[in-house]
Amino acid sequence: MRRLSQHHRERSSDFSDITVVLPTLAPAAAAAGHLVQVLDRGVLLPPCFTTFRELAEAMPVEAPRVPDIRRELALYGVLRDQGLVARGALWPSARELRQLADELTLHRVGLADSLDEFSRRVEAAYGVSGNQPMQFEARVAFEAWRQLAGDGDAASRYQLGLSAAAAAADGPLWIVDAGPLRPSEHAFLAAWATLHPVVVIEADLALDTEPFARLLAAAWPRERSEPLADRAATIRASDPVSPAVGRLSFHGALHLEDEAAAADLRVRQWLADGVGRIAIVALDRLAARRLRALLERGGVLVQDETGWTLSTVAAATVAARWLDCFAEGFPWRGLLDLLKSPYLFSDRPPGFRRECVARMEHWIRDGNVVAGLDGIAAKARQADDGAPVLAVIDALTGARAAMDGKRAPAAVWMSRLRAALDRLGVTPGLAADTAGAQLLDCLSRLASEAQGDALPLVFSEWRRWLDGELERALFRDRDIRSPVVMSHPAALRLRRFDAVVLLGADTEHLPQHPAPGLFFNDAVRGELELPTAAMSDARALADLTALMTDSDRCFVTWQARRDGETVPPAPWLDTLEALHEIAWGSGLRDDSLRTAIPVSAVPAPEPAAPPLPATMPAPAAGALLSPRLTVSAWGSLVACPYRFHARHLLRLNDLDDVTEALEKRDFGELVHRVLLRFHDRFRVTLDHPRETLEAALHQITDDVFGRVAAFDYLAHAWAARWRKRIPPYLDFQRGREESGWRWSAGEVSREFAIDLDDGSVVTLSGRLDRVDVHAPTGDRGVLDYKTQPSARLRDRLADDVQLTSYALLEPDASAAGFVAVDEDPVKPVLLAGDVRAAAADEHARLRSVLSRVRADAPLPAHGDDAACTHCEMRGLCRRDHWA
Amino acid sequence: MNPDHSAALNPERSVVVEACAGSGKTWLLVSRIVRLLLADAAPSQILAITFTRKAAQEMRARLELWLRQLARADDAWIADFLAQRAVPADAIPALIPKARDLFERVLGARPGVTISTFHGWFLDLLQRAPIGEDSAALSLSEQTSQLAEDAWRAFVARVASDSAGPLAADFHWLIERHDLHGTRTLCFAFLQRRAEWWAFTDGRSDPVAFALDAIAAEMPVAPDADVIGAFVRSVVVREEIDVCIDGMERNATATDVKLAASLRAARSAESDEAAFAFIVDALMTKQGEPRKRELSGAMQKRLGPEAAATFVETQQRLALRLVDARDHLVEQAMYRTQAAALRCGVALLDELQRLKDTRGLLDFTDAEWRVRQLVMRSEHAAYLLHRLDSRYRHILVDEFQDTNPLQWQTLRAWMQASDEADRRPTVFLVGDPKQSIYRFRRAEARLFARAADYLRDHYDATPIGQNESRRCAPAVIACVNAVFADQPDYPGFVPHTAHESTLPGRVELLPLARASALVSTPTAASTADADDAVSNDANALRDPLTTPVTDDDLRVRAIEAQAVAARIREIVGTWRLRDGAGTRPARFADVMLLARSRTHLETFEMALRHAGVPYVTARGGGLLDRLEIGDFLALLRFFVTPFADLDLARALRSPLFSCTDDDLIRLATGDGTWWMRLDALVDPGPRLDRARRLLARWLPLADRLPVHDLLDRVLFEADAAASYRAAVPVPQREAVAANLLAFLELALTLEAGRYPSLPRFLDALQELRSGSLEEAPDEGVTDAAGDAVRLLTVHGSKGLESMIVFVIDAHRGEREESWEPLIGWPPEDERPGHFSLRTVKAADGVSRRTLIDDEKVRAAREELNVLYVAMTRAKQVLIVSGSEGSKSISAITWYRRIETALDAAVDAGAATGDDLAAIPHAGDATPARATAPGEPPQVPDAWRRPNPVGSRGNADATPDTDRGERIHWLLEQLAPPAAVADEDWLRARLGITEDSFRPLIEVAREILGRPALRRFFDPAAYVRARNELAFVDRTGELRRMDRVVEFADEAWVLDYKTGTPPDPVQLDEAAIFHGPQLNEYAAALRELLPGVRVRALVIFAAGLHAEISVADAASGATTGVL
Ligand code: SF4
Repeated sequence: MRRLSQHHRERSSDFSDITVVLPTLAPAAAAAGHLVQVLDRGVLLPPCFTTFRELAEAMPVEAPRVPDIRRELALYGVLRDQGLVARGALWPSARELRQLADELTLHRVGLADSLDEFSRRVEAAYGVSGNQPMQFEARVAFEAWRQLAGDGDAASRYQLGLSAAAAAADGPLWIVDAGPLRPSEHAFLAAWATLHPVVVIEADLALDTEPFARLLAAAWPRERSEPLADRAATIRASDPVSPAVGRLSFHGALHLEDEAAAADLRVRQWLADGVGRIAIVALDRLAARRLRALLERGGVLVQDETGWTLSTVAAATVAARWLDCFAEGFPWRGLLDLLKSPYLFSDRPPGFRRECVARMEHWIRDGNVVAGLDGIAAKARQADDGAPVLAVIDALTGARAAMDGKRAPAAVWMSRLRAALDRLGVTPGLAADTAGAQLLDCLSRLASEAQGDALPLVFSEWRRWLDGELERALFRDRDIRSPVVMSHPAALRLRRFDAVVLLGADTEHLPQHPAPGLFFNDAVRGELELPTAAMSDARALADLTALMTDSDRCFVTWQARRDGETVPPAPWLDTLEALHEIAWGSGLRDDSLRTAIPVSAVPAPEPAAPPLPATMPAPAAGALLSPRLTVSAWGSLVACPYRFHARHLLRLNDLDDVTEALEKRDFGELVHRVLLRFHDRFRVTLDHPRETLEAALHQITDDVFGRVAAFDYLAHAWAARWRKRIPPYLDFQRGREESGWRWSAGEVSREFAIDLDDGSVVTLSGRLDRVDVHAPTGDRGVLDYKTQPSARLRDRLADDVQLTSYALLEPDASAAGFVAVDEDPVKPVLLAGDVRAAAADEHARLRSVLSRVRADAPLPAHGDDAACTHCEMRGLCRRDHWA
Repeated sequence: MNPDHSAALNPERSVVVEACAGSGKTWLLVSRIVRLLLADAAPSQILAITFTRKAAQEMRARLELWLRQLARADDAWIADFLAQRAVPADAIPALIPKARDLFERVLGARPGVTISTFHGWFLDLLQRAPIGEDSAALSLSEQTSQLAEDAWRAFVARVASDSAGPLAADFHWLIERHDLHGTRTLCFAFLQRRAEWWAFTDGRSDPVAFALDAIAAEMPVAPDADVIGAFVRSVVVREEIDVCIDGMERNATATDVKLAASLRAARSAESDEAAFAFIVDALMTKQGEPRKRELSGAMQKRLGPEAAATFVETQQRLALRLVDARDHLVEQAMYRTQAAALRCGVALLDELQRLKDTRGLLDFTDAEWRVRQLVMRSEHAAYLLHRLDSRYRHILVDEFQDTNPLQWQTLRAWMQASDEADRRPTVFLVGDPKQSIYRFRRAEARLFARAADYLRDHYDATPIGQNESRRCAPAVIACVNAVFADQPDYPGFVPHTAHESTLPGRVELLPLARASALVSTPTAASTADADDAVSNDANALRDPLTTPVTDDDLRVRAIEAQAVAARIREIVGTWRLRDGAGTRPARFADVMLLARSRTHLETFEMALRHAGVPYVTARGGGLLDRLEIGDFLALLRFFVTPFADLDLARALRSPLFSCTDDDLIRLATGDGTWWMRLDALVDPGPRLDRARRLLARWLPLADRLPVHDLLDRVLFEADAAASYRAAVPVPQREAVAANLLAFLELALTLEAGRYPSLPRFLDALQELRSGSLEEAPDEGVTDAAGDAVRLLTVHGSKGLESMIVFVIDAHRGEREESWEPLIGWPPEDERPGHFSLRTVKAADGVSRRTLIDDEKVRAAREELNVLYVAMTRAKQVLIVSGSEGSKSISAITWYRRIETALDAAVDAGAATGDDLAAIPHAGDATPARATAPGEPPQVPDAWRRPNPVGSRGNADATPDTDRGERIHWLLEQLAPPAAVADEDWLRARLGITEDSFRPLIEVAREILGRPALRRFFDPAAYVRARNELAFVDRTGELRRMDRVVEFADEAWVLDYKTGTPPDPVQLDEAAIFHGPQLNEYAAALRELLPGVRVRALVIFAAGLHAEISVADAASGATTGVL
């Protein structure tokens, strides 16, 4: 701009006949402003700022327009049908080949006329000959190019546009800082030059006289002929004081957070010092997101120009979730996830969706409804207030129908998707927010561009295609205006900032190395005269240089520790620092931030609440003690009073988890059911032949397990496990009968009133698996079926409350025990000693403990490790954080 | 002093170095890279491979550090550097400038030096796979366990879909014998070893049949032979039975009479099976042993000496035959199990591969296998060799003992292909078979020797052994030697020497914590026999409100942990450790606790906490189990599920809100969910009130913000860092702070930054948590400055070192290896010779006994390797502790080994070496912390004050403005002089659909066609017209006028307002509204066209427009309708 204004000082206020081609349009406004400043001539008509692309596209071209998407679809069809490329690589290959063909066009690379010749060139570049996979690669690329190179493509149109623009040249042309030009662009310049003058302006650091620029030139010479130390000596001689002082500093961060925090503090310092425009170069996207969040804490909004792929925004997720649900048959997790999106049913009153989801989630979790939409619909129909949920399900099924599912061309799929989103009430929600509107635009664009391609795709093919397109589409949040701008180095070219942050300036991110393509390596690209990695590196270095010289301050940060090792900054910066150190004896690190970061955070809006003591809690809530107490609740009190407090006084419960497969405890439940039915029928097994009993047990087992097996096949496996226990169980049962015991009842509910010291009563209740009667004596025995091994049960017995409580509940019980039914042989584990006395002791304990609980005795959290390991209350008692 | 490295570092020679722990492998390897570079190898020609990312990172850091140092150093320093790396003295001067230049030469190189893990390198290769393969397009899945679960579900569905089919039959066969759990274990074990399976069956048309044939070939009996029939019907057996019956009946003891009856019954049994059962009953004990039969005097008397002898002999012979028959039956059952398990395993594998295929994923094992397949085909190997931009000529492999056969094959094939392409590489392998501890990851320690042979034969590689530790003190080395030298179960150990011969060191054995030391509790009376009831002393019922439960086994370990914590407290601050040339007091960060497994680490953490010892656990994968992270998970769950009361309660109790138990009690009663109760609470008190405010602020954001942004708000607004800092005991502070950050980072990185909805995020975490430990996210890394003890597993400590190492829980029994596939793969072979699955010991059968024993030996050897690795982490101090629970341990534990070693060494109790507490102060008294806790630095207030900058709601980014811009643009394109006719082109440029396009162009055309405006759009009527005229105003801002039309006597500026048109009645007001803007335009235009009369016109849609008076004194604009 300096040169432009100098050059035209003699001009009047009208520069509008000049066309200036910039790398991007972003610096145009600033350049124009600069012109006014320099010329000091009031209002003026600036040159026409543009880019090559704008120039080309502004010219209507008389040629058919075939969108890239359609070319890719066509190529996909060829690759797929001829089986040239493996299935998983089809889309990436189609896209890459299309780009490759365009690149070849743009670079005016005449691919050889024959495949043979082309193969020879490729092989020569690879440095090997007669290699079959290589020839195949060349062939696919060649065929693709032949297929695609035509007039309709964007690359050809670009060339035509440029020629048309050159033909319409109406004044001088300036090319500013465009970097290496492609043959098409060279041709354009040549054509323009026949009509009007053309000036190409490139920044060249070496020519710059400013000391800081000289420093960078010394660090990053175009051709490295002198060793670093010599260059350092030279610059030291000309600049005894480092021009980097106060202008450039490095911060090697300990981790991601430190990196973002350092940049955050630096930006806030600058703002506090009155620095105006700040650019944040987001080399590392993670760090950039983190930084953006930190800056927002202090009210600093960032104008983010980086653009995010559409697939990373919430709006796109809705579509993706919908497609997942559709493809997977509405699994409950996916369904809830979909319905929890605020975009859904945005055409209905607020609250409608939330309430429906809450209700559905209740049903799903309580009722273990895993059978997709039908299961929930059934529930909804039973419920009194199921109508809204049914409406939701209607919408979902309608949307499912709209998707159709049959093979179809991409454009048809797109309209199916739109129809489905409409039915789900998603569209208005999307239209109302920026990202959503951009998504809708993108979907429309895809639909219209794919129009005309008839290649039928199955759902999964189309889905992959769509995902790829959303991955390519950029979302820019233009909602924020701010002097703090976040962007890429290339987009910051020629724009002046007062200060610059380089975020993530490490080897991994600077220069950026694009993932290697599926086709050809760098050597082949060079041979084909396509841009190579070296060229893109050179460009990146030029961008970096420009950025640093055009600003007054530059702050560089990166994660300097990985896996416990020290990591240097990106090679260029590393070299710069080394040169600096050799020249002036000090590096560029600024350690002042290190100590300042912890004390400079923006204070939280809600300061921390005063901490609680880090000790074992022992709350008292006697008033919450309910008049009814189950045996298992009593068990939890005995194991850990605090757990009892949380579960039974506060009445807190973990969310019911939906189980998709039968688990051990369900197995136990089923076995209980089998045995109950069996004994109901056969009260005394000795009265029946063994074969009858076995057959009956098998039949009951089939029935009980079979019901579950209808939706969980693995129930068969559990059934098989139980069947093996049938003979030992019968042995056990008959043995027991031989010693006089008779089954008398199963699943018996019993209660027992406990008088507390304060005169109130708590009723202990429990359900006994089984009560036996000893025929000769009339004694009663309480049994509890267990699927744990008997050894474990015996260990448990020492601190068990279940049997003693049962003995208390069944007043005349003289025996109590567990039956380990999942073992061979089946064994009882009996409570020893005087069971009546044990029950009486338990009664005394119940009375004493519950009386004290009622009287607000503290309930300490002193479960042992065994209890704590899987305790859901661990977050409440906070055991892990006690001192 | 320095060992001679000239052979190892000679850049022209291939070398295999067997280097003991602490001998400086990384130093050697990186030095060799430097030597290669100095010998003019291009950076891109160097390929260095190791096993962990951490190790690769370390190498790269070391290399870069040295190069940076070389670039800055003076000649003398460089000369010394080169001399240490065995550069011949006469070559040094010439190399000095070169050495200095390496920094820039290597750093700027692209491609640069490749320093990678095997996996990283493989993925790199796959990216360049020939295009017929889809490998390059696949992405790597690190969550394999979730995939395996999904595959299992699909597999079960497949079995279910054909429940009478052969697969279902196999499945049920397994279920019958091994339960669901065993069946699953078996199938998953197969998945684990699928690479070996592929190698084993590579190229076979029917892999399972092939595998079964191979198993059958080893069996002493045909799989389908009628063992029982053959036995029962064998003439010899019949005769022998007769002899036995005769003998028994004549002997006529009560037992014998019964046994003889049984044998007789066998004779007349209905079926062979029944007969067999009778014979077994007669000849075998219940335990399955042959019944004893001795030649007694009484018997000789009854039968006569000769007959008695024959009888005894015959019965023994018959019993042996029976044992054989039974073995054969076991074999046949084993075979049947193999058939079922392999078929199920293969079906499950199919499902897994299909799943990955549809999802476009590939895992490490696939990568390994695919690369091997690629490289083994020479065409493809040559392709890859040339396809890479790097052209390796120097291959360096670190930790070679961790290589598995597939990796070695790939490497070998790569070298061969390089040879064929005339790029014969130099090869440098370094490793230590003694540190091979990754059998579970399929590492094959025996490869080391094979590779050394191969490289000697083909690359003339020099073998070098290094047994000097540069790390450990002589006292530690002495103990290592005493434990491992001359041990029959640890052959080939060469005693080590210590490089630092004067480094003080110490080895201690803490007393074994024992159950007997506990005050015995009256409860634990358990008996072995089933029907024995257990006594439960009713009088001793515990009072749960006052007395906690106790568990002896856990308590024993807690006692050990307390002793360890106490010892750490004693050591830190009193013992003096070597620091450079001087000494300094020990600090917490000098201490590392190593355990064989992570099972009991928690007990140790607890003890450290109680003792006030700060610690960090690098328990890989533990992040999501930490209490503080659980708090956030609960909060997030509450956000998505408003009735998740427990989650809300937990969040309230967490330091975020610091609510008390009494606060919770207030919420325990009332209607609706806890959130509704909180919302409705009258007079909630400050804590609940604060919680309510914050939660109400976050709830509406929960389904709109990305998880990371939401978490950031929570962390910030609730002042979480400070809250946790204040709430958590000092020893845990650093770790907790780091964990919070790690969690935040996880929210950023999960799903590669794609937007995960909150429910999905939680599901993903749940999957990570229930997946295998190796996949779960690690806990946060605390700042290097933190002074804390480290707790690790031995496997996690590989490659690390520490001044003081505690090997804890060192007295534990052996672990049984079963259910692990049995794979016989002599390392020199291309493929395994045997592949089968294992279930329970009793089903192993006889034909695989040798292989199984072999495995056992290697497993035992590896256990010792683990001990070796643990011990050699210690620089100066090694302390070993253990505990003895109620179960007695028969094996020789680590603890016992070290005990023996110490006794042998000193005979004086449980310590040896120097008294580190008595080491004199020497050299500097380096402060114990990197940063002295002093005054926090003062920072200007302005830095902390929020400084709002920027604004939201940018007006030109709404759908409305988009529409306006588009109409403007169309007007520009459609207006003369250069009107565009091609609507298609216009639409395409706007990138919108026909539906959206039509209304826009209609608006534009209406304006252009309006008769009253004709003069502005008719080239014949005006002199010059310009669209979108850009101008820069006096403030330097770039602005645009929609259209400027110059007539002979005046110029008009036209401004389009394409939004909703105003009510015609209020046209005046609308025009006045736009007055100021047009006046600015007019003023500018006047400057640009001096002397010309300027007028202005606003054009609305729907046929409306109005002139704006733009008099020079642009006050009170008057309007007039044209
Ligand atoms: S974690 Fe342990 S102490 Fe805490 S409530 Fe649960 S059982 Fe009690």
